[in-house]
Amino acid sequence: MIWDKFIYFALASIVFWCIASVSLYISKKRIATHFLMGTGLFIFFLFIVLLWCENGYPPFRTVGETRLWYSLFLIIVGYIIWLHWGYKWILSYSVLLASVFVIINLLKPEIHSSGLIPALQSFWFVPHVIVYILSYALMGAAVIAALFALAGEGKKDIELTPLIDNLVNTGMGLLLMGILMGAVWAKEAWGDYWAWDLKEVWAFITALTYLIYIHLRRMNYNLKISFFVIIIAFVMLMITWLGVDYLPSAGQSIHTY
Amino acid sequence: MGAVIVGVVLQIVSGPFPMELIKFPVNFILSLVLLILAVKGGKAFHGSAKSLKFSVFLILLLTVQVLIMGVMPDNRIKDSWPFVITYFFILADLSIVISERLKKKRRNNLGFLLIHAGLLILLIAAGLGSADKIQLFLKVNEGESVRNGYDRLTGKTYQLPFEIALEDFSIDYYPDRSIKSYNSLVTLKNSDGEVKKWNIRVNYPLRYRSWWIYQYSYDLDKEVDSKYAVLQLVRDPWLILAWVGMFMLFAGAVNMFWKGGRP
Repeated sequence: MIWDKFIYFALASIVFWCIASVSLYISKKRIATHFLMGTGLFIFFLFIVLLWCENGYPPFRTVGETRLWYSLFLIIVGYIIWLHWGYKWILSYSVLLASVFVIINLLKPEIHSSGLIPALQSFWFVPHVIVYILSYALMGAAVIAALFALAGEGKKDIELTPLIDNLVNTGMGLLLMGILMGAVWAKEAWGDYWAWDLKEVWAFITALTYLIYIHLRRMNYNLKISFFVIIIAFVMLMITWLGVDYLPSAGQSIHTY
Repeated sequence: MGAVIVGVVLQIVSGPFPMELIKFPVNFILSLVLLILAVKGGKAFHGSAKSLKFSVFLILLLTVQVLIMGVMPDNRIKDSWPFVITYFFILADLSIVISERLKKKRRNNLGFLLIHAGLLILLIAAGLGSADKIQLFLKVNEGESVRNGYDRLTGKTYQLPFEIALEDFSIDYYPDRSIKSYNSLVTLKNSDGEVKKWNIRVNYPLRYRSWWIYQYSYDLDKEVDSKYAVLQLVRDPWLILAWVGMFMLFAGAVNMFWKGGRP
């Protein structure tokens, strides 16, 4: 069982990533950071590939498996954003968050070795989940940036606004792709591309809230209120992702596996 | 706006929105009106600031109702008058903003149009179009054929334009006994004698013209030895329009992803 060896891969990756985020602040040259981040990513990805081979299907079935991808893409997105805009804190933040997910996996491995259930045997499974995980990672970064902007006095929000807009618009694009791929999948699996399933309802609420932010920004509406909308949207996103099963309306959602 | 909401609340008294009201050809005519409005529409708002304000108001109105849907178990929000009226306002608003944008010839018009026109088309197909959707169930024994479907909403049986014969129902298992797949091997025959054979599984429905036929259930007590299968049949004449809308939206989403916050 490759899962038994997860702790070695996980700790090695975390150590590399942590050193990388420290090297950001002490070293002027970027090459050390690139090397450390790359090595950490390689080790982590190697584990996913090995798990994939052992399972015989892409590791997307359990919460534990999706957490692996979440960590991976958080790191990748944080890395890309640092390269693109030069915000160091976002790389450190993504390392922190990725580590949290890894540690949750170590402490509470919701891991099954059985094969995919029939409902998940679809072409759309992998892209649907990957796109959502990427989107969640971007929206996670956006909410942190919004909190920074709200906490900072005066200048910070103006500095951070372009970043937040980029993150939310890019994330919204991915969110839309995720919903649409889910719709095509639903048509093939359940008979209808939209069935008001509880997970769908909350995904819809999440998308609508981000939509409000995007339109408020086009109006040049009050920045503080706009950023506050991002925080609400992220709460909705968290409910969609993790909270849906615990709602009184959960009943018989077809998204609970 | 207040008047609209008060009107909406009053309407609730008359019960859920009757979908029969917008069956073909009513929905078709309404869609045409909306599309003509989108292409040729006049000026409804004075300046884009007011137009944006109204759009945000509508999104908020929708969000509140969907939130209730997400929190309250067994609600009937989606059949209620306020929801349907909000839906129609959104369609009209989308048509108007598209027509206004078409006149402006701004930069990145394409991204804007893909998203908004795609959404308009998808919403037309999903809402107005759903009045023409048929969803049926049929139970068929191994070795027998059936040409009637049962509509659970109306309780009526519906004569199908073809007959379905079940050759074999089976379940495949993984080595650990968890279920790998449910299979219904069927033959579909239409009145012209045309024949289609297919192994219907979850995620792999049989498609025949505008009909999609799904594996739905089986004899739960006998499991692998079930002698019958329950199939679900869906016919949605507006599906192609929905695909068009989704395709446009997807292209718009890719554009959004690429451009980020630059308007």
